[in-house]
Amino acid sequence: MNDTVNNKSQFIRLTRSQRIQHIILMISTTLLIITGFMLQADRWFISVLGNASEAVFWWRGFIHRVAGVVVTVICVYHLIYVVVSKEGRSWFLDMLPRVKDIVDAWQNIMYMLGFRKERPQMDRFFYLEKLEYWSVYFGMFVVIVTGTMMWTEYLWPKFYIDVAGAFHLGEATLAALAIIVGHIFSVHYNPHVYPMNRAFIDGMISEDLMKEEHRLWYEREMNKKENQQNGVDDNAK
Amino acid sequence: MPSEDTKHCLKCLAVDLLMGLVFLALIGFGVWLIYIYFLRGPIDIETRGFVSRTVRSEEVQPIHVEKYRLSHFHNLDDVVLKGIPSESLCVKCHGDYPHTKEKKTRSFFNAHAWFMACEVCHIRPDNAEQVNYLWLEADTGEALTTLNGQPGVYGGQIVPLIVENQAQKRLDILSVTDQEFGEEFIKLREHLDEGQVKWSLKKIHKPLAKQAVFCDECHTRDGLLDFSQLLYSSQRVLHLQSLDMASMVKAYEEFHLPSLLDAR
Amino acid sequence: MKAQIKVLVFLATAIQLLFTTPMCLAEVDGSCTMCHKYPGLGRIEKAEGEQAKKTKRLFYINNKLFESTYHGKIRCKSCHTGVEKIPHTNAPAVDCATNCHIVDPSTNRSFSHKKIVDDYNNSVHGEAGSRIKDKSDLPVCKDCHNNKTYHDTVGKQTDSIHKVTVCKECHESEEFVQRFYEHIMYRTSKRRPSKDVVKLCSTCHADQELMKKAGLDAVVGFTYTFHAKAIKFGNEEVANCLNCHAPYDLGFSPHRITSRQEEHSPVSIENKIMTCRQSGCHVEAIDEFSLGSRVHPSPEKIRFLMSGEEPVPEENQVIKDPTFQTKVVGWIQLFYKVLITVVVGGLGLHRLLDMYASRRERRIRGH
Repeated sequence: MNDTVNNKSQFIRLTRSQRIQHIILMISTTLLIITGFMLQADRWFISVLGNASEAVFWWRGFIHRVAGVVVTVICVYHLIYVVVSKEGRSWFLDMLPRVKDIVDAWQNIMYMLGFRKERPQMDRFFYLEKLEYWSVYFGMFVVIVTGTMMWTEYLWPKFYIDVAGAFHLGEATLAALAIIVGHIFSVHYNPHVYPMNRAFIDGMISEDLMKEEHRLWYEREMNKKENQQNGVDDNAK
Repeated sequence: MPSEDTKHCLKCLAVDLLMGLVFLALIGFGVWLIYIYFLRGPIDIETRGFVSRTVRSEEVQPIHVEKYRLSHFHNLDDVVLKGIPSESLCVKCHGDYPHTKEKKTRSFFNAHAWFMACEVCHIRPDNAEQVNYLWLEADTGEALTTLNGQPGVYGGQIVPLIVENQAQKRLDILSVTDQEFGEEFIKLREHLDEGQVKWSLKKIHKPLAKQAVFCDECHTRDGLLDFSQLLYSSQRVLHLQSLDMASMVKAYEEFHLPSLLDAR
Repeated sequence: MKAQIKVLVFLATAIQLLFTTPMCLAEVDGSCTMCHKYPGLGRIEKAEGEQAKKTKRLFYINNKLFESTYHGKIRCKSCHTGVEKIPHTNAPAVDCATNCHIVDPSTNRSFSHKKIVDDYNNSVHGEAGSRIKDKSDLPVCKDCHNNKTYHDTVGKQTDSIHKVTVCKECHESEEFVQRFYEHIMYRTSKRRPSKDVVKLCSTCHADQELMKKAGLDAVVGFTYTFHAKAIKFGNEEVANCLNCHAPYDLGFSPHRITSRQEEHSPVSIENKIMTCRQSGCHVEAIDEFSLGSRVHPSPEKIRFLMSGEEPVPEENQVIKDPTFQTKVVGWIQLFYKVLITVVVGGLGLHRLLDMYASRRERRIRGH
């Protein structure tokens, strides 16, 4: 695991590879959402485009396809990444859902409602982060499969394309709304990190925040560090 | 020089503003997404309004200029939309095409109504009264000096003016009390009972002649109207006096004009 | 005295007529516009029985405007046959199959739309070809075709003034050259933008009431298709109504549209795949591509089925539509509506709770 202690107050939250994956996913998803939902645009939007609307339509389709390919590639890359690389494996293992997540969720809600004194102590990823991560698996699977079907429309009966289209639009709406409400508003519009969670840029998390939000992870890391130092000391002896 | 603190605050404000705008944009986008997925249904591709189904017979309703031009097979210009250039009380009730009963003449009379005040035909001055007929501009009420424009659309109407005590008085504008009564009646009509309506209508239409002026009373030599006084060229005066008979006869094998062959 | 003069004039012209018979058959130039140039020429017609329904009949002609239209060279009486007297009582309605007084240069005979009118008559929209009961609702020529002005539609697009200079080297009449050029340009360019085609067909086919009366389902599903979305942006590559229902490239014409139940219809079950495989479209489509599903399924139908109301009584239904597939799409939408409500609602609620908790924390810390 690379994300060990860097200095006194900062810990590594996201490695360089993870940050790059996030940024590529972010940009391509944004493009996909914009170009995709342009198809649903109301008439006034098209009338604003005027004579350019036909060209805009062409570019819309082109960008959507390119971004779709990029997203597919990054998803496949991620799958390989979580299997092959060491940091990927640790990420994947920490992301696996556990019984504790359900308990955490219950306890956290109870705390937020004021029925508990303390927040539950979370590990490296808490239940919402896990939910988001696995939603992306589900969503990407749906969108990529249906998107590919619609791209190769001549290989399928028309009915399949209709079904694919319904899934594609539904999943896109769900994903866009979930990203806005569940990701941007929760992760970035968060008083602890406002105006944004810088982790996706520099990959760092402060010790304070880590203690507060990921107590178990912090303790795990500190233990590991101690062990390592002990090991180093042992070796030195 | 601003101090560190104010600088910091300004930066905070800028960030707050930016984040606030982004927040609003995201909320707006989210609401739109919910709208299109839950409420709107299919995309709103324009599926109406190219050619109305009423092309064959234009229904009486306010019509958009462009649409109208498209929907009428002969490509009308917007003159027909402007209607009669007069705010006369008659037009308010009877509309731009007031003559409906007599099948043979109604269209002709309607054509005349567009450039003649109703009173030209529908009021018969006594023989003692001296009446002048003049083209008066629609907006200002001043007399026209030349006739320019499309046929019949010279920006005004022929109006009868009665000469009383060497002053000219427009006959197409009712006396103030009558005008007020008429307008009041139009407003209240729905609330009146049958007897009241009948009485009011009778009162309003009282000045009108029982027998309106007919074609041949003007379109003849020494008719009711002096065409040369109405700014027509001498050639046109002759045409008008003869009702363009010659060309019509040439064009139609069988013809009958109501004034000639039909009993009135 | 007056009457005597009139009678004299009448007799004189009548005698003159006898010797100049050909003259009287021909239309005297400007004789129609003598009356029809007045904008007020018109009337309100009350339909018998229906008190409320008034129709405005306008007889005004702007001659200059009319002359610039496609039919501008045709004499009034070429179309308005039977107008022989004043008032024009008993003149028959204009029939587009009439022979015009214009000579078709390809045959040297007088030109007529008769062939197209006959074709149309036998098509599903025509009186002979249609199976609906109330034939008065069927569209006529004028419902789709208007007599546009050449210059508005063609001249502005093609900069015709510049291009006809070559023509004018030989052809003297500028007016002829202009009209000829604009005619050719109009005929060789794309006839109507897809947007207009959709609008035109939808005028009737999206009209729930009218379609119900005709025993058909209103077309609603088209607006869900990708084709419609592209057309909305002004794309001309995707198929509009006519590209499938009357593809010129496959030898069909909008005037010969047939029901999809006819064997030779381009959208019949057998022929559909050929229509989909038109050049420029789904050329490599597999055989199953067109099978089973309608291109524009009608989600309206699902709504009706769910509300328990049948859109058209079974026995009046001209087209029997399998609704299973459209239902499936509806189920998927429902699934996602529920999922979005639960997930996004849950996330939003969680976020609000979190804010509430943070406020509480701050308050406790503050005190």
